[in-house]
Amino acid sequence: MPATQRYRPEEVLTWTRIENEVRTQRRVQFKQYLTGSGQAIVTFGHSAEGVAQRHTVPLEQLSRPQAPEMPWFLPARIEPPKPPTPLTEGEVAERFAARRETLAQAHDEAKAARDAVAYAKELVERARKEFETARSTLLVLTSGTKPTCKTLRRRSAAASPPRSRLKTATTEDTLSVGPR
Amino acid sequence: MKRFKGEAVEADNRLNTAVAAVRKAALQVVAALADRECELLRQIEEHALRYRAELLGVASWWPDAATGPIALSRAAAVLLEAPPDWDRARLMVSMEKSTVPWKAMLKRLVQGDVEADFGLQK
Repeated sequence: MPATQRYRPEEVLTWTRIENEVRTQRRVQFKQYLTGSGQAIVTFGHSAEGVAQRHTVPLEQLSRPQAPEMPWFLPARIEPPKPPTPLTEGEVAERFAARRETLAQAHDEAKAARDAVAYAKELVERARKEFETARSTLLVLTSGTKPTCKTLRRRSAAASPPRSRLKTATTEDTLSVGPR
Repeated sequence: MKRFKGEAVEADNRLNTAVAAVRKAALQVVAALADRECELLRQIEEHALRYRAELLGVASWWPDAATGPIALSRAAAVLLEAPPDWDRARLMVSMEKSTVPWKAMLKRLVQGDVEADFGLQK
């Protein structure tokens, strides 16, 4: 960066120079650069009329004020942490959009999970009903085995054609052995 | 039956996880809302600070040496002299009362109103 663009107008600077073999520092106010001469105009002190005194100063004698150097025997300076930079409107909007998107996704997943739960519950209910039906049928079948067999025998005997009955007289006899 | 019941329990667990995720995401949205309101507060306080500085400048203005500074009322002078009372601000509204609209907002977000915002009703 060129030296002529370093300081802003009205910026407070330190003007350091040797006066009578003594290093002197003054706080001055920067006014303007003198283009091409390597010098600048600063103001320091006031005249009797209250007008700021203007001085022409070599640029190399100007510097920004620095924090004084700490003596070696003192502990290092403790700086308070810098406050975080405030969010811009764009950043806030971006954050909003991202978080709302996450929320929408979470809602979608919750809806899918709710549907899955409803389906699983329906399945369990159906299975329970099927199970109950099957068990009651089984109960009926197991408890009514003998009469059913007897009835079947009777029915088959009654339904058989006469020829068949004649032909299978022994069978008929066998079938009619049981209680009627 | 046991297999079906096992699957139902598994689905229930997944639902619980999903509902927890919804709540977490809704809280994140509420945090973003609070961030936005804080930035609004920052702008208001910045404005108040500049306003106070301007009035302090006016209060210390001497139009001429004979009449001295402009005469402010005592109330105005006390207001300008004293910094904002932050301790009183903490006691002005109970935490329970101040979180009511935020709780309602969280409820709306959890119930599925993804675009819920304070708007003008806060």
